[in-house]
Amino acid sequence: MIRPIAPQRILSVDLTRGETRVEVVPEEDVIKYLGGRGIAAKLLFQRVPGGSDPLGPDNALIIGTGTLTGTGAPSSGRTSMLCKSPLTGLYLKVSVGGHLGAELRYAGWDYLVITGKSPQPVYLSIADDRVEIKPASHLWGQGTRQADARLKQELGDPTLQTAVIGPAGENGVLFSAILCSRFNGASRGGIGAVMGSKKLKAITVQGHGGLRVSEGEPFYRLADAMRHELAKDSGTESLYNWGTSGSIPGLNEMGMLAARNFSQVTLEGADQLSGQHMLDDGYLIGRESCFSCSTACHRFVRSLDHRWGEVLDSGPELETVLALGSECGIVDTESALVANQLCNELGMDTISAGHAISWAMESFEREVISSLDTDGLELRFGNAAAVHEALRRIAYREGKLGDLLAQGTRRAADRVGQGSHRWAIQAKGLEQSAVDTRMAKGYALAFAVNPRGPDHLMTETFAEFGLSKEAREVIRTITGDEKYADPHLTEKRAEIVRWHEDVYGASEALGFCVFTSTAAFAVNPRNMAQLMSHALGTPFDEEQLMLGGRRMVTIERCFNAREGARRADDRLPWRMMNERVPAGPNQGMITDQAMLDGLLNQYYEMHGWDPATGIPRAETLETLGLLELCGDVAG
Amino acid sequence: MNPTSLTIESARCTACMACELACSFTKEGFFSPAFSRIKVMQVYELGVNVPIACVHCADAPCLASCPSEAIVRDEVRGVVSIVAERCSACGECVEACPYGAVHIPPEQELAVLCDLCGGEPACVASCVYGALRYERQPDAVYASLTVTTHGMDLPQKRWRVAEAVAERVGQAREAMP
Repeated sequence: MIRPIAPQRILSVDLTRGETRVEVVPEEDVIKYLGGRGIAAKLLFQRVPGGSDPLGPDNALIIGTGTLTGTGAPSSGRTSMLCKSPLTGLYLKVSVGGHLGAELRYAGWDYLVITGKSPQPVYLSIADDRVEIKPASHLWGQGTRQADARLKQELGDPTLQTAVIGPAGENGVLFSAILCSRFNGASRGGIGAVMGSKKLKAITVQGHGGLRVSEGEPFYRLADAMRHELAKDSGTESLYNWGTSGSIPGLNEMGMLAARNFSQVTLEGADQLSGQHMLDDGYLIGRESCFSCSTACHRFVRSLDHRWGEVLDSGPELETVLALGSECGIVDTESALVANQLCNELGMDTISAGHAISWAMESFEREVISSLDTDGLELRFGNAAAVHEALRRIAYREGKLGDLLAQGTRRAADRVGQGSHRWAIQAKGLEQSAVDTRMAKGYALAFAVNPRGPDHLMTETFAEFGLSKEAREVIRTITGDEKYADPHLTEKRAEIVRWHEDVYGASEALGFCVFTSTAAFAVNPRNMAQLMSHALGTPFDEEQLMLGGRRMVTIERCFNAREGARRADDRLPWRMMNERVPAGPNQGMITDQAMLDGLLNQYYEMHGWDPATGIPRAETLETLGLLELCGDVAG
Repeated sequence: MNPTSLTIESARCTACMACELACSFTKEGFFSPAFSRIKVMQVYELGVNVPIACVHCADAPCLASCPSEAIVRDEVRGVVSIVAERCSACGECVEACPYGAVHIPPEQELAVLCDLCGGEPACVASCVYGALRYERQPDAVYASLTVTTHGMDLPQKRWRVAEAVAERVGQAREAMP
């Protein structure tokens, strides 16, 4: 079937009853919420009642494809996956690349809403209009790679797309992931455990249809021009050459490299973890793109001396080599590749896994926990073999250590006590990505208000560093003056964060990778809106686009308010707010409670949220046309 | 007549699928890999991506197999193409092509293959990685493959060819210093 971009179609699957249902999202809703992450946020708000058990049948796993995913728009293949997080008990959106979203759209579906709980392990098979719930007992227990290969073989189609959980998701590890298109992790917040709680091992998708945009020629010409402009961008060049870990040498030099559970900001030898090192020494053997992307930041790597085991697999991202490398005091390329492969195969988030282990390492070295608590494992910084073993035990919840860390750092610190929350690198229950928020005030604010917890993939204000002409131009557009492209300033941070929230939301609703709109800048609100206009065949401007992003952010905030989240939850990990940067060019810097309070006041005020609670006011909801949807939680 | 073909360098392909989208949009006016004349196969185990398209073989089995003379060769440029009005979508050519480069799109009554867009292939213009070029050279990759795909269905055939090319790329990679 060749379809237009809108209206869009929802496939609802109730795994308790084994029933499916088809619904339609009218074009006016696609315009209002932009589709993708926007419509998915609305569906999550409507369909998961307040107070639901994240691992119970009432939670929904929602997959939202981008409104431009499957078209030739550059880097537009990203898919949003939503649920209530079992790690935080709050709103969770995870964005994933690869080819799953495009395949779903070609199969005729824009959203999947999966609820209920199957009595037996099953997988969901989608082949265009043919949707079947099939037994998966024979796949239960398998690693993600193994299950992916088996499904392709069974269904006789080596090009089908999959979303698969590994043993970690089956065993309810609270930071388990869903691996999509084999290489791409939807990883944060325990979304894999939600899939596992429903006894859903995998989703397979085969699509043979297509998408027709309304104004074909102008759409194609603009998309093609954007693709080539993006490929020339300096940020893109670095991402192609070295991947995300190409920033390691710079981070180390600037004293911004998270090391040894954030107790250090540089680490000798950290360049071993960099994309440059992986390229120069022959670890890198291939580059992979997500659907329709002209950057190809994803890596394919091999091990060389196989010291910790053989690796021939997709490569580690920056956050992975930091969390499982420098944060654990390990600067060993081979170890990082093995740790990455283990997390992918077992189906776990590398950021949370790394920070749970680095918390345990610090606890061990401070003698807050002992080898009795670790079942004999010498969890000291720098012990690579112990990291690999801990990952395996976590995935299978094996022994005291595996079970303790599988629940995430917040719960582990609560159980161990003895002040260990001070070095638990988490807020709202989510382990912070290995980004130091003490010297960058936009980052600090964005991380604190992030509905899923402190990390860089809901809103990252990279432009505030002003590292390129384009970045400074973005800051000028937002604030009126380039001088605000300075991460140490607290002025104008609320404006900068809000602009990035809107752009992140809009990008992800349309399917664009945020790297192309907020790290490189070839994709911007103007050309995104133009593409939407050509795609829908109706006037659509930048203001509507940004408003769509704002609606998403507001619905997400309302979801959390309904779950009881308040201003006090908008915070950063204890160490980030109470211990100053220990060394380097940023020595002494901090974003403490008083400074954060100032930033929050500006931010809530700007949004029209009650500064006492952080909840959107009724008049704010009315202005955004969200009163009907979210009015019950208004502050 | 000198057969010409796309110059496909699989080692540079990242599987972004821009070529498939460019092809289907140019030929059909919509975006659908199922209608594309070029198909990228991802050989995950080796991390190699292999674009597959018609190479306009000097001795084209599809042409010989067609019962209705719908497949013709341009004797000047050597390009093989399908005359839509004569094609009955019988599938003989799909079966005859050893590479899986000819196919009948879903719900269509017409076989399709790459005709090089009359000399300016849209896929080449879309590829920012340099994996696809058009240098008006005969194919140098497929002709030297020794795989047998006779009797396989289309996905299997493409997969077998992709694996063979990927193995070769993998070996070249291993030989790198």
